[in-house]
Amino acid sequence: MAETLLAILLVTTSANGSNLVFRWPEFPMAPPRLSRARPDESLSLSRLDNPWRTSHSQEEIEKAEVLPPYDYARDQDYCWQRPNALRDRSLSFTNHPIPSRSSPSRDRSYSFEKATTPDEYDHVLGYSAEFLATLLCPQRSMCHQKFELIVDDLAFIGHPVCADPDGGWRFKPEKVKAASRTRDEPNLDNSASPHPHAEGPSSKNQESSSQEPSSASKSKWLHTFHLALVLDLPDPSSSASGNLTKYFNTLYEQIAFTLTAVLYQEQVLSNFVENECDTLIALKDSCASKGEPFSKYTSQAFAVSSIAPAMKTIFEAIKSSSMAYVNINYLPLELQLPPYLDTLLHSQDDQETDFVDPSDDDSTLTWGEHMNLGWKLPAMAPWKTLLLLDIDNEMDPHMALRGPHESADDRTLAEGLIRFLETASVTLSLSEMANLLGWDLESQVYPIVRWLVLHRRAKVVDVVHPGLKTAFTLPPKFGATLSELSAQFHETFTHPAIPSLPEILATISTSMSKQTDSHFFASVVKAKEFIPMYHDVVLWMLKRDMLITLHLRIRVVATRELKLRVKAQREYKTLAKSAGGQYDRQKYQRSSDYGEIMSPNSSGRNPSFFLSPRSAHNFAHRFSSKESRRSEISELNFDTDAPAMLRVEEETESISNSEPEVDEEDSSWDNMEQPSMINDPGKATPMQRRWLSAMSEGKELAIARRFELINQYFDGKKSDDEILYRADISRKQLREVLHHYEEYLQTFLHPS
Amino acid sequence: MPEGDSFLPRIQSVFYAVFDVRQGPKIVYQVPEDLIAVSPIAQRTLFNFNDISMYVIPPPALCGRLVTCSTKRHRIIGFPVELKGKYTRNYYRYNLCFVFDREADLSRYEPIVRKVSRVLKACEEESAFLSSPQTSPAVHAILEQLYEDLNSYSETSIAIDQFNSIELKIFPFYPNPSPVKDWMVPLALINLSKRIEDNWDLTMLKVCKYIDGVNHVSRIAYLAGCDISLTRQAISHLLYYQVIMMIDIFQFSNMYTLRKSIQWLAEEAHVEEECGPYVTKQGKRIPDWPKLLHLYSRLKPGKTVHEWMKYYDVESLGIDARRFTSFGVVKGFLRRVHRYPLYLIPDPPDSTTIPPGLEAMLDGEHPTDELSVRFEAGWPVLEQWLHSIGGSEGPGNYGRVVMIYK
Repeated sequence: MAETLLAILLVTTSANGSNLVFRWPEFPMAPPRLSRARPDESLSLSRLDNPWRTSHSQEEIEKAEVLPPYDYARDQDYCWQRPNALRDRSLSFTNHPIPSRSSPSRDRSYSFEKATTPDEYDHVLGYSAEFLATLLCPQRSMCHQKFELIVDDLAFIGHPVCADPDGGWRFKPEKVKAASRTRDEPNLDNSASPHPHAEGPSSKNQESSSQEPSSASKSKWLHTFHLALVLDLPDPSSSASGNLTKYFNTLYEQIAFTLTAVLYQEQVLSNFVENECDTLIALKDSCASKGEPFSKYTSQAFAVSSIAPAMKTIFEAIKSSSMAYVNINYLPLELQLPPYLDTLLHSQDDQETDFVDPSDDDSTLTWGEHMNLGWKLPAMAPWKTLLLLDIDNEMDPHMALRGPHESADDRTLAEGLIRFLETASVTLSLSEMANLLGWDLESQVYPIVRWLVLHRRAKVVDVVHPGLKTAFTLPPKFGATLSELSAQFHETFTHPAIPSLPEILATISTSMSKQTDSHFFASVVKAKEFIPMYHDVVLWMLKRDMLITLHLRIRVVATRELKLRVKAQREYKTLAKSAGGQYDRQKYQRSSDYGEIMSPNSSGRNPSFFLSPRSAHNFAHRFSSKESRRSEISELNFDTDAPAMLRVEEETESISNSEPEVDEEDSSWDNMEQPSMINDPGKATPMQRRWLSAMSEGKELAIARRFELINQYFDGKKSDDEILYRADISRKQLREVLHHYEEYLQTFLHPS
Repeated sequence: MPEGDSFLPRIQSVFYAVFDVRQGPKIVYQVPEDLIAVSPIAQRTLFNFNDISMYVIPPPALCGRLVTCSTKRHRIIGFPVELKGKYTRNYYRYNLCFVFDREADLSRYEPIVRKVSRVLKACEEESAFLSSPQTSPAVHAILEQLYEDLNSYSETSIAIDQFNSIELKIFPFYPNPSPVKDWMVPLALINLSKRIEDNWDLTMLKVCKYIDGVNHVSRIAYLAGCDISLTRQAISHLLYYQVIMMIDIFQFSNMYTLRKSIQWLAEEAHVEEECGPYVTKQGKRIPDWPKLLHLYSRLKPGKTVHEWMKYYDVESLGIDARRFTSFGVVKGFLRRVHRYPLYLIPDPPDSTTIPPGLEAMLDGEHPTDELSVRFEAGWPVLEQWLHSIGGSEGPGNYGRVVMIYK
């Protein structure tokens, strides 16, 4: 939803001037915006005035405090509050016309309810309707591009379009290209109809663009039309810089541009917008001349036009954060905004950073560009699954798809979708679903998943074990208060064996600390016959984001013993091979201060490599860390230490880049005494490979082979589900490896 | 916080436009010269003035408002003014506009634009500075100085006449911090004591002394002898400038859990290098990174720091558990798991030692940190109260009080 949306306006220009043809809501109102300090409620005003306090006696001060202080902090009109859907929907009063130059929002106190004056027609948001229409219809040269105008606290966003100088409406070659680019993805696009590959605006658009010169309509009077969104400019201090632009862009692309594109197409093809405006303007004039209230005009407008009800539906859908299904000239159209768009405007909550993954661009790849911002989607992967959400009967895809279909193609597609919906289950991963259906994962399953998620009928979650042996934990925040959730839960699950929601939550809370059996079945369900019942409980909680699945990640450690063993072996080998250099090397090892950092095969090389860049860096760092411990004043004295470290780090990198081989060898040998992590076993250095293979010494051959195969996934980033899928092994086989290589592996349990 | 916050967008152009009695809206001066096209055939320009002239010199309804309009690649911000008086048409309309790139964030320039317009308006009202042919050429010099100084130094001081001058400074823009709670612990990210100046706010001076990563807000207020709400304000001021961050109260009964970011932070050189020296007690040998990482991975919901220390013999490694956990929280790969007690069946308890109001707060919405601070009791005491409210059934069980960790 877009909490800032105030109104949707349709304005036109003709030779006679500009006209505000339709607006929704009927009486949009900008919330008051005050640039005053907000007093702390616990302080009375007199306490803030220190000079006054010092110049008066204690008694006088106390007397002054007795006076009933004006409670600004609680005054509804004094504070700016975040606009919300509930308040906006109940707006049904008009503004007093404000001839003065003050902001449209400042004279709010004079608004009166349901006043039937002709002003209703002529005044919107503190401006005269005609002025607003002129303002929103820019010069011809500014048409056919993004329009953005901000006046004090109101932002107007849209995409004005105009006729050619001769009054003809035809497709602009470059514009059609831009429009069809976003439409080329069937199923994905907002404007595509719910039926995959159905006859939608996209196909029509492309057809008409091919036969371009012929498909022009001549309008009688319409020069320009502009469907503009009016937004309450969000408080700039509420969000990080730059977010506002992204926010406006999303609204523009998802709503204003898409809608304008369809209207423009219909105008070109059938002079649709002009005809609609003719009807609406005539209706408005007759209503105004009869002195009927504005609401009468709007209610009649819904009956005779298709743009007016579409504007209302879109406005309400945006405010209620749902999808807008509208019909424009018998073209079905779906519009929506990303569900988490408004969080762009709120200050970043620390807890939310768990959703943001800087190293992971997958979501753009799997979901597409336009489902990236404000969707908070987990990456779509073969080992994930789909949770179908509760949907209204009205929008039930089963119902929609069982309706009459014109072509056989549509029917097969519809049947396919129904088969998919019947197969889909949280206990099956997407790849398993693909196998069951005999479908291709990328080209058949993913598009349906995308479509379902886009239409808010499903969400991507982690696979739940059929026996509910999944480890869950609780998120730091729930969507609603616990008492509300408990009440809902109590209504849904009445079986006496199911404890109350708080008790289940408490059990899940403590389950994690147990060494064994920390999963849901062992801690909550406990009996096999309850599994189906608790399945519903888990689904209920997953739908409300009340459970987080924990995933195992694995990292490899090269221990000190292992390193020394490998080193000894290698020395033994080189000793056996070359008897020549033997004496020298031993001497070096004993005499040199940096014995441990010296590579055995570096003895013949440039002496500067005796101290490798990395070890020089370590040396420097050890020194600086002592320094930092000495300072006790600051908690984390990053600002003094960090730059120095950074510089060393950069140098190290630049040197090591120029001579990669040498560094690789040297740095591997240098910290022989210290265990270290092998961060990416899949891209292990020769030395790390030696360590990895040394880990398998004395292990069972089958297990060792499996370890060799799967250790590339032990980078601390791949979840257990992913490893099982990629390596195509069973959970038991993975557990075996973990058990046998316990001393070299570290496991991490955290949400993904 | 995004780094872009301290980055100011560059002014591409500054221009001064008036409503000319004969020609209509017209640019009188612009700096740099000829960047904005006034005739349709002009080359190498930012945009054409005609496209936006209706927003630069608008009808009276828009005058006295901050107006931002956009062209394809630029954004123009101005504050159109209309003055009534003895002019040819009985009014004088002008606007001084700044031009930026389309994507620029203008929030820091808004007060600048308003102020410039306010000062010019005062000058015009006092001495017809803008409309009189004698003084109006001075506007060009003002534009030049605005363009040069604001772009180079982010501040300027332009004397206009004997009484008026334009004094501007662009301040960095930060979003408001989240509200400060009494049970939060401020942790300094810079050496605060080095920055303290005598003319600072009195509360701030007192409060700063007690910010050590251990004291929570209400304790700081108590130690500093300051009003709690003033302390909160001082702390949130420091938070606004991002020189402190908020962590939680350290108790050995705390629980922590890993966050997703451990995936990449475990490999970051700065985490690996800073961790050991920071978490180890003075004079002790610094444990290696795999060991530390292993200890982090063993922090789980339901396992207190105390239990964790005992199980992994953390004490003998010379690790300071408080610094160990706060390092993880500061770096962002560790998060505190809070206990939310919830009282299931509200019966009057037998014990009278339980402070009034505690029961009502056991609704699963208040973490134990909040309760501890509110009722001034550490976890051991609070735990006892919860035992007696719930009718204890043994250690780790609170009877009718259930504990939710999240």
